[in-house]
Amino acid sequence: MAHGDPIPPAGGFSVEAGRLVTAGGRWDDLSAGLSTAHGHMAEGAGRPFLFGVVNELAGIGRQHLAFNTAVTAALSSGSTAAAHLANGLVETANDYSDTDVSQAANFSEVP
Amino acid sequence: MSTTQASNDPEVFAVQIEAAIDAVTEAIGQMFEDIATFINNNLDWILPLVGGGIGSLGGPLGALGGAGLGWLASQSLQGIFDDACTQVSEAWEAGVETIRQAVGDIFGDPLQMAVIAASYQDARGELDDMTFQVGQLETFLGNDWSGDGFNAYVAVAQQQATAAAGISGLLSDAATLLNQGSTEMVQYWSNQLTNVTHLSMDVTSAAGSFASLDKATGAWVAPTLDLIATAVNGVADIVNTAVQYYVGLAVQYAGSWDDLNASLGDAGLPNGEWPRFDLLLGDLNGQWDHT
Repeated sequence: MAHGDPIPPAGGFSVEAGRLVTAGGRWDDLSAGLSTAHGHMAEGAGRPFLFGVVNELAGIGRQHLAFNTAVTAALSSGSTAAAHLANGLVETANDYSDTDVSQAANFSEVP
Repeated sequence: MSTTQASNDPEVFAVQIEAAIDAVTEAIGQMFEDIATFINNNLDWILPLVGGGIGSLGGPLGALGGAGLGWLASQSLQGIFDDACTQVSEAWEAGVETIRQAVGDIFGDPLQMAVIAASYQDARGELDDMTFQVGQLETFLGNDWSGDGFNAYVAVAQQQATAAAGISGLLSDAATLLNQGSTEMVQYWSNQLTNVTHLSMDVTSAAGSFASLDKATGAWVAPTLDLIATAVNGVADIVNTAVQYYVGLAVQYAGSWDDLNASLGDAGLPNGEWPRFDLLLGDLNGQWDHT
């Protein structure tokens, strides 16, 4: 099973676990949105003389590049973080479900 | 004075400014052509005046007679005319170089600035809903989930939403700066295009003063000097416009970008980076160990 794959909820945690899985799906969507935003940043990348040669002496081109680079990196990280959060919610749901299943088995073995 | 509108496309603007420079060059050439035509059409009265006005040609040379004096005077006339042409041409060549430098040094890409600003706005479209969605999810999960895990989730989720909202604000400010830079640069280009266009008109006007020449030897020297003065003044206007643009906008503008970069932390990006909870809590999303 791959990391982040949901396990169908079972037992008394079904409603809660199901919501965590649903929320995980929404975070995957948010991750995709951040990734799309990251793609829009490409238009401003690698243009040190966007403002002209003389203006570059004042550092404007470098300032813009620094901004574009920082936000691009942040959005990339944001997309990754949101995907991790999505997986985390699903893994939490899996954990709840597994606990329910495994504890039910434990209790059933109580002599 | 009326303004000649520059294109925001640098390639188109390059053609515009070269055409304006060519117009000045043509106006100067036309003036000399007019002078040459005038002289040729009025040799009957100009040559005697020139001959009489050139001391070195008097005395012994005067004995050569009208034809000879005319030929010598004609050569002198040609020399003065050529000198005048050379003076103006050299002044204008230097002027063209200055103009190209004044415009070319600030030869940015306002069209691309606007494109980038639009891309930033598109990026914002992906971010602006995130705060709302995160809030919605918190409510959705909070109905049935409580405890330390939920509290930790809320804290982390809100960090993400804060960072997304912060970036959206930064992109908005950046798009505004880009659009401002684009507008200011096109305005600067328009001002320079207007300066060169008016220089062309001024040269034509200076050339027109030739029509009011008094019938005196070397009378074309005056409008020629006017022409040089016009070219020099016109180029000075262009340089002044460049300096004003650079000092008035660029320095302040650079400060605005500096401020924007300095505000990353306040915008929810500590140390200019997205809050990566997953790097601090490496085991948060560890593979669930199914037994």
